[in-house]
Amino acid sequence: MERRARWATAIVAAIVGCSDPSPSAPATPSWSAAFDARELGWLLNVWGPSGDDLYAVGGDRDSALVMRFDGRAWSRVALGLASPRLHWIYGFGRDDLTAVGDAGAVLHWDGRAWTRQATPTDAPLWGVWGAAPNDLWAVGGAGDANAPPVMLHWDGAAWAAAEFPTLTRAGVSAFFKVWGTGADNVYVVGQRGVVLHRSGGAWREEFVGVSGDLVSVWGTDADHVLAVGGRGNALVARWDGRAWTARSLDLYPGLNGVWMRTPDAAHVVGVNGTALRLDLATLAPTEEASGTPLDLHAVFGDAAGRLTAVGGSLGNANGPFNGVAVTRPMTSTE
Amino acid sequence: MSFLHSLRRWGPAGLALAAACSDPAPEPTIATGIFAAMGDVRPNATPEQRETFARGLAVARRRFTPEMGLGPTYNVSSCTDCHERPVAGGGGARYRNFLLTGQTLPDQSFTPTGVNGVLDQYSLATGRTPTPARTNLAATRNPIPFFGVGLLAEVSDAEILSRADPDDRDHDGVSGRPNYDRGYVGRFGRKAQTVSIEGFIRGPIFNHLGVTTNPLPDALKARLPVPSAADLAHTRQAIAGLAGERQTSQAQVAAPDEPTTDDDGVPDPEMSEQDLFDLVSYAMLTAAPSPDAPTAQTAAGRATFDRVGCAACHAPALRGPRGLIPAYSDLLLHDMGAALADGVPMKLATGSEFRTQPLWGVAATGPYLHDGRADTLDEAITLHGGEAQGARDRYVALSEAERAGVLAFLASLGGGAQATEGLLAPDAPAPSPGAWGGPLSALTGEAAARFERGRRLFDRDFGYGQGLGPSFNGDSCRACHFDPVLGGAGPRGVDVTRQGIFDALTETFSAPAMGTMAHRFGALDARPAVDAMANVFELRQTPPTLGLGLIESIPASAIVARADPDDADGDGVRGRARYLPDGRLGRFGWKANVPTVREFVRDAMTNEMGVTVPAVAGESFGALADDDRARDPELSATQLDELSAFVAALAPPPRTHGDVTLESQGEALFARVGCAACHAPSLPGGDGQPVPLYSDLLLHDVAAPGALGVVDGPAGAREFRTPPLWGIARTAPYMHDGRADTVEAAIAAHDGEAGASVRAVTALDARDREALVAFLRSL
Repeated sequence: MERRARWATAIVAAIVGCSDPSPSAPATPSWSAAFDARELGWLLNVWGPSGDDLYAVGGDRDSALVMRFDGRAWSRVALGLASPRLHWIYGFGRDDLTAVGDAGAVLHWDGRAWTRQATPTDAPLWGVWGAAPNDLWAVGGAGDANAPPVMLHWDGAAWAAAEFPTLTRAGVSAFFKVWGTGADNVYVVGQRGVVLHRSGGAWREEFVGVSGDLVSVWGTDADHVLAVGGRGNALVARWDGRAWTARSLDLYPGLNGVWMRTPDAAHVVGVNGTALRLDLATLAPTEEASGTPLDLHAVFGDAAGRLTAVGGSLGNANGPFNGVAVTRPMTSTE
Repeated sequence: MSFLHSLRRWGPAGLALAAACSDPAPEPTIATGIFAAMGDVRPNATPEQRETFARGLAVARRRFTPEMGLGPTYNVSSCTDCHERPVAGGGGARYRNFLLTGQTLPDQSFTPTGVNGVLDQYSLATGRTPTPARTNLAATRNPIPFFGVGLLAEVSDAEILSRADPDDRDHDGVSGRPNYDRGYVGRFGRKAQTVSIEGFIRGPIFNHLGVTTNPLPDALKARLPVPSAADLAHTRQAIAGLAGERQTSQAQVAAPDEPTTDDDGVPDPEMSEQDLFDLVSYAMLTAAPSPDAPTAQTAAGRATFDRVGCAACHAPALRGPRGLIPAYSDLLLHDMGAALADGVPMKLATGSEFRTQPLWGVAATGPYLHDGRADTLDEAITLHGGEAQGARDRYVALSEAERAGVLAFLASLGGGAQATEGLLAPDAPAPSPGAWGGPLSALTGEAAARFERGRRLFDRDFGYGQGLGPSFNGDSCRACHFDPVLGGAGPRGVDVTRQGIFDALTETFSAPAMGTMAHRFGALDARPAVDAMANVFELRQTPPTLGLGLIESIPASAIVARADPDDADGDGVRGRARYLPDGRLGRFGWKANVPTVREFVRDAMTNEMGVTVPAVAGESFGALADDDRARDPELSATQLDELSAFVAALAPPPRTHGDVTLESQGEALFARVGCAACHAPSLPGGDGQPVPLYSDLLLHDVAAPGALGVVDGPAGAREFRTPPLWGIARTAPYMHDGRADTVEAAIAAHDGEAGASVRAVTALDARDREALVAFLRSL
């Protein structure tokens, strides 16, 4: 019932255009609009190498949207090329950004221009992460039962299809996100709760006790990893260095994004404006009023201490393509 | 009123309800304006809502074709295929069971296979859908009735949660915990896995029909009978008139917001937003089954029901914004024990947990339990386990009279007057002589009574205790032969599947050792096996049984006289008579493999229903014994007589005329283009009168060269008995596998011996083709 009351508050806030926090939650800094994204398109990921170089990517049915925060304001980035919708972005400093998206699209920013990199797939790519500029992984898949999931690797020169073992889990046709601590400790999560772990130079399928989709994964070190997802209900799965522990967070709908700065807590966002801070030891959530009833898809904390979450009216692939971007300061313990 | 007062006197329920209410408001009373006969609209619906209800019912009854979006795989072709018992909106008999399939993994997580976990039986491309790879778990499901779901949707989460006791803190052995869907308490489905009615409808439409939809836009959601829009102001306004309710659930807003899509070539969405709105509204507006006034027996039964502990889960009423909703369910999950467990987790529900099934209308919505394993309510109660074990044991220990009282009480919870052994309404009169489904001639006295007994038997759903199985396709004759009337044809969704082994190297066909029948149903929680070598699966459309008695009367000599197996006349049309090993002429069935009506009935009872038949001198077909729990023969000699007599007495479909001139032109064309060479307009009946069946009852090769099919004895893979054309306007789809939805498509689907006729029809101008079709539709 706490959940219900909170969401009702969020709706009221959205209706009256007010994002003030609930008086009952003074300890958590309040979320407010990062910029007005309503007419821009969906925003699916936010990431940046520094507090004054933050990117949010997304788009609409057919085209990409890239927004950049320079420390003072957000503005739209002119890509200089045509690109389908972008889903995720990651990089290694100001001059080495990689964004992936629909139709196998990979865009690279080298500090001077965005260029499209060739990939051996036309399937949507949902996630990208790398241990080094010449060691990136991109994952995706159509989510269509007739097509396999996609995993690509960048070796510094070209994208190539990566080999992974035949999955034991049936019906997996999409990997959604990839994250790791280094070249030999990488996780891929995806459809129907599939998890692949790379160590010893090879991928292995792991079983984390989750039946629903795992949409995102993040962590701080090899012993503190959190995967989140679920479509109908929120699902979380934690790796503590010894075992996976999975849990359904009954009162919350599906989760889409996770980011961690400390090993003790994770910032998690999801459907219907869900914003949670999750105690990694107990997997107990603390709810925050994000101020939006729209779906949040990604959350990221920048070096300047800002937490930013982005999303939009994401449920229907046919639109509308309304975006949302909210932000709040982080406390020192988060 | 006495019913309402009786309900309010319930101790435990009354206490729980009082506890849920924190102010001194008057004790809630039973909601008014919600009860009606099953299938009716709620009496409190507005005129506008009644119109929406009627439109939604029409959508529910709409039979989808591949051109309308059915497929690429499917189980049924309309909503009311499954939700039909005793009327639209209800449950379904066992021939509408389906399988949930999935894969249980080493970590006990569960991955659904098939279409979101539903195994579709049929494929437009391959006939029978193969079981998905890596499936290691199957669970039988029986369709669930949805009367009164709009009222359950209005019950707040808090009301449901007020009964939850997940840790059994009161140590009564009954816990009960909620399922959740998108952050709200789930309440629909066998595992309470769905919270929104829109989701509860869009999911099955896609999973069982392959019909795609978009989520309802907010503007339409705002107009649904149950508040469903993510707009607090609207929700408040919508409930403003509901006295006594201080808050309502906004759970209906939590509907899936993803479109469903498929690749069947029909543009998505295959159902319009307006149709979906009407359908969701219809479901929301279905009335709660009207309970009977209590009698001394039912009142005593109700007391016993409470005393043995049934009411611990089957809570007599939930508090909703309109008052008490007497669904007899707490809408919570309960562990029902290992014997009932299906192994399928759904959201928070484990493989042994099920939502307490509402009991309103239970008398008319058997079979019972999630997989329909129980024929009767008594059996259903005795099969309860887990948290219900104590109540079950106390029930079993009751005297016979006390048990009868409980059962009488359950039967009083609505729908009793509509309950039948099949789908025929209790007072449904027999159609007139000569009409669709009526007898050949007027019947009186014992003849009429015998026809009626046969008709009821034809309609009756056979339970496991009555001999159904061990393998079956339908659980009644009507299960397949109901279109457009009892005794008629069957649409997609009740097709029989035949299997065979084709050796491409030698181009030879062999029948599997287990026979060519690939049954749809067998043991619970499993799909009947097919031969491991089977590589040809062919659907068989249900042919109508109307007029079979007249066909039986046609002398064999009249049929054989038309045979020309070697095409001696050089017209390209042969026609082979099929003789059985005993020398008799076959005349019924797609392969002309059955000689008489009685043997047609014997064959169907065994092959389609798994019901054994009595030994009768001179009659073959049908099994005399099987290995299920019912004593053989499962059909008595009297029943066989009455059933056979009923079928034999059915009149052929009556002709209906439109533009007589056009039809006359079409009739001439029918002969001119050569259709009549096989579809002989008439054959002489036993009394010498012509039987206008438009068939020669011979085998013809009418399939495309190279087409694979299932051989049946001397009938080749591409050979089929010429089907009679009477009644063709109302017995679509056509051809042996139902590939054609229109008469025009059926003509075009002919090949082989009929190739020349097809080319002749193709050469006709539009007006002539119109005349030909008009003639055929007049038959």
